Amino acid sequence: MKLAYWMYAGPAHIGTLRVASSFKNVHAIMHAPLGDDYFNVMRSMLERERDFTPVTASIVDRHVLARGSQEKVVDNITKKDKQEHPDLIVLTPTCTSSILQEDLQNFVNRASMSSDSDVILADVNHYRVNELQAADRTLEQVVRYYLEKAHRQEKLNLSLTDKPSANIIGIFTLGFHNQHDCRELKRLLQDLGIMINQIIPEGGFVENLHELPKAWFNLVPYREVGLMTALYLEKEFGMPYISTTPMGIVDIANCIRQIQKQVNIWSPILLGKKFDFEPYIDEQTRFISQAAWFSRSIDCQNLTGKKAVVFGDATHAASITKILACEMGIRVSCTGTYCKHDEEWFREQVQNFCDEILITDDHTEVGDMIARIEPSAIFGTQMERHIGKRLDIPCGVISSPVHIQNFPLGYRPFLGYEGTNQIADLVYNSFTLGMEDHLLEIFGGHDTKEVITKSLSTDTDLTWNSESQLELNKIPGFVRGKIKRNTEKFARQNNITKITVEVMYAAKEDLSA
Amino acid sequence: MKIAVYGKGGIGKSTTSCNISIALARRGKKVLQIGCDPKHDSTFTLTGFLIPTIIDTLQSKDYHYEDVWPEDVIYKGYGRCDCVEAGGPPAGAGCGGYVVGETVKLLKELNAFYEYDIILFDVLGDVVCGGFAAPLNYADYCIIITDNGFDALFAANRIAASVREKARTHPLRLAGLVGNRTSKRDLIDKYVEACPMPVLEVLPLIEDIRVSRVKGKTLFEMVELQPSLKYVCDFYLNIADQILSKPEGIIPKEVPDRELFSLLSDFYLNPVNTVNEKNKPNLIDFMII
Repeated sequence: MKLAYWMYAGPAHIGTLRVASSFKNVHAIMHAPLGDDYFNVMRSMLERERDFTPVTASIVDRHVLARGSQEKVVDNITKKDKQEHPDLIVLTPTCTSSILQEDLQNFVNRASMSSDSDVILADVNHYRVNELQAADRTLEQVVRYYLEKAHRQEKLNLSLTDKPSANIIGIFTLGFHNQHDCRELKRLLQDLGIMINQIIPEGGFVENLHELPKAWFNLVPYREVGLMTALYLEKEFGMPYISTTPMGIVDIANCIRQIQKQVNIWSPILLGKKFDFEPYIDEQTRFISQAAWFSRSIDCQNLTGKKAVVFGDATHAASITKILACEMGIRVSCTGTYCKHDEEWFREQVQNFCDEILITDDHTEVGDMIARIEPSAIFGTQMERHIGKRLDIPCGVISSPVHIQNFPLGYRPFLGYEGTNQIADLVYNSFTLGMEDHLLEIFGGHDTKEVITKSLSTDTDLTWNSESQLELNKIPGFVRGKIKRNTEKFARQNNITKITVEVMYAAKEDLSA
Repeated sequence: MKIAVYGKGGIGKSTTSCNISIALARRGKKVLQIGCDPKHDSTFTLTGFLIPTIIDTLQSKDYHYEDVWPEDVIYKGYGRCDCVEAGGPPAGAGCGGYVVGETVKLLKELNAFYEYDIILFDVLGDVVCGGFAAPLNYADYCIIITDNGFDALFAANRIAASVREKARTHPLRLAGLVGNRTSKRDLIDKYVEACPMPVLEVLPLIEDIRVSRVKGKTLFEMVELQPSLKYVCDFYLNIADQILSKPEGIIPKEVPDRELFSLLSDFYLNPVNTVNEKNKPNLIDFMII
């Protein structure tokens, strides 16, 4: 079967729903036709939480099409208000229902008059932005709504907390290892003597959002979601933010040094002392994290100079590229991201750490790039893992789109010092190891003797006759794929459709010449 | 045979459609006119009252198609023309295009869709979206109503573009233009020169057509009392005869919007230039020889 279509980021309403269902006691209502409400299924399957996903669909059926929504959406909002007593109800259309161009803001205005909860319409253009951008936008909208509301009610308290504190912005449901990363960040900040003021949206209450400005600074671990909120808080309340992702030894140290700089602005005045995190960084890097010595150990030597390809969201792809290039001595032949809206930042981050950069959301382009480069390992999303399987190249998954495998029961963070251990393991275990390499060579591979027919071109016009297939079978498994590809490439270049043993040898001669 | 009638809003599509329907019925055909406009007043002059729409009927039966009988939705109009109104949501709600598609589906289920010799769709103004283009999926011919003005011809050009688009996948042809309420046809001729298509008929500005609409009667009904109007009916009978002769029709190649603008406005702004241009090619030809 041929995979016809794949999207790295989902449609906009998924982003909105992820933010809404990350908050506690927030209900989301989708104005959607039947079938667009798969979010509930997806989330309850992946996150394995105790509670039901607080998302309801107000179905766009033939009555709505023939008559307009009339009272339906408003009724559904008030019904949920009475049933669940949420703090906030978020209404969102989907791509399909936004074609109808119904005035949902009007429904929201009417419903908010009769309900106890707050009601807002997620203000997102469904045909312009993707899941990640919509999540970023919705989070900012919710934060802005509650801060402005607190301002009107004169409940806004702008004084800083007594001890240094931070908000962590952008941890949310269905994120790539977000829960584990969050625990690791909490531990990191605690070690530094910094209190957690709030973590949003995951597990946060919207009623507490008015206390966000009390923190000394904001920490945005992933730039895909949370940056807009941090920018808003900086503009309105002068709150500084740190968006360096603490992933990998080098960037963790960078991040901690930035935290130190922010904390030391106020601490001499408020606490009468200055913080110095350098001893902490030194101790963690040299004695706690295993990654630093491991990457210099004999085990890792056979990774040096091996080729890898990286692809993922901007945050993870950039960080992993830097880790591979700077910390593990692996040659990154190509790195790329599907976050086309963040291209400029991404290029700036990785430009000196890789041979080429690919910015695309077309999985076939990524597949072709990997097939062309033939790296020893891929670090990508579930899509690249799929490509890797077809090309017989190992792949470590480092970024969303997520899969049930990315919700491990064990502790698997990517951020912080424990994250460096996990990443080192992932990288090391992804490559075919040194001894394994030799043994494969000696014993002719560990796979079966069938001819590999896996290749990226599904509609091949080349035929192998029985002698050449037999010859192919004699070739050790671990290089068989490569030889098959090279032979087919040679055949295509010379307009040969039937591959015989002679053609194979000609291809070999051609290649070595 | 299925015919879809399009044209700029207010150009007289419904009036023309009703009269063509009767003309076809006079030629012994079994005719069904389907009003595909949420305004649901297309068949008013045939039935003399606003008939319940398909969507009204479906709504009252809670979309139980099996409870809907042909007589619930198909009404007998003047001159043995049958009438259906699709109906639709109030402006700004729901999806009017969905209703058009749903109407055809229901008529198919009632087996009414194949019983008629002629089905005539009277569609609102322009081909605004896929839904309102739905009649083109079923039609053999498209007829465009226009007058001798800029806006109507501009709309006609847009409809021609839709016809070309649909004709790629459907056996649809443009039967031609019908000029309505127009004493001169110079602009129509200018357009047809740039975008070749047949002109089926040009109806002059006749006060009685307007009056007939107000009275809720077709011209054919008014003739019964005013025999002097018979010549007006002949226009419609002429159109009907042309359709019944199963013309080859064309796949139009619409004029790009900008070009159309300059084409039609130049016509009045620089009438002399156009004459000169006509002479020029002759001169060049002469030089070459």
